[in-house]
Amino acid sequence: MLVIRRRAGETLVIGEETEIEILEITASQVKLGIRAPRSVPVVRKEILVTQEQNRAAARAVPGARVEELLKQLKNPSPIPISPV
Amino acid sequence: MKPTDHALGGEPPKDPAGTRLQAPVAADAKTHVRFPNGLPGFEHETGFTLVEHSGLEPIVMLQSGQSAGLCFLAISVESIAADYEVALTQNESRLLNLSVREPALLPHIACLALLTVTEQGTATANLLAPVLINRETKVGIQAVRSDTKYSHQHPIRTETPHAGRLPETSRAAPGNLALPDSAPAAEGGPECS
Repeated sequence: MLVIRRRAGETLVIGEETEIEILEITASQVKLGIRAPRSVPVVRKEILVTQEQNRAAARAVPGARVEELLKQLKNPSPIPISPV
Repeated sequence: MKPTDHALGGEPPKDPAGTRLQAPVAADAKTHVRFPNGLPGFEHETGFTLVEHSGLEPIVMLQSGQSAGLCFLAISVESIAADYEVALTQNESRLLNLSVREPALLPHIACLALLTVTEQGTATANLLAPVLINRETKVGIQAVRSDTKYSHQHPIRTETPHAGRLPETSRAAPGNLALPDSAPAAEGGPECS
């Protein structure tokens, strides 16, 4: 990962048409201004993650799997915690 | 993938007989909910029917009003994360008609997590982006958190004890979600739509 130090008011450029300006820095947040062509989508990463998860959630699932899940939810047993 | 495996939602299979989710018995409650912003990835889906059925508890369904094959499974957040804290932006609070920012405490606000169930039987819930529904105004949003307190893949079911060797008879009938305590699926049961 490229790491750059910038102060408020300073700018960095990505490619030929995308500019990111540091507008404001507080103790817990950074406010950024982004100038980019309309064709470049700019989204918070968690929105992207949710978009992908929603598409996965919308996929068809076998009814038997839902039954198994229901059975487990109704008779809860300890869920082994494993890395996601 | 056989069309008979499609009991729920997702992309409509090629076989038209399997394109609709059917519930074998009538839903206990159906609420039409407006999602003014759609859902991330489904921005044009602005209307869903919240289908609640006692045989499916604690799972509920969100059936698209526009796309016949689109149906999400969801679960009440409190049933999987009792101490869940909702975080809303001012704009999200306004959409839900809330003046306070503690919607989890209000009984008319449903807080749901969308479920992802895989072919292998594992299941996760999206706690990063809960679906909140105001039951009085019938308006819903999916509120994506900007913090990292909760996972978008919170594990609900990780083991697959019978994966790949379920007897054929225990599978759900084509197009039907067999509910554990329901009567045998009558022909032409009510559709989840």
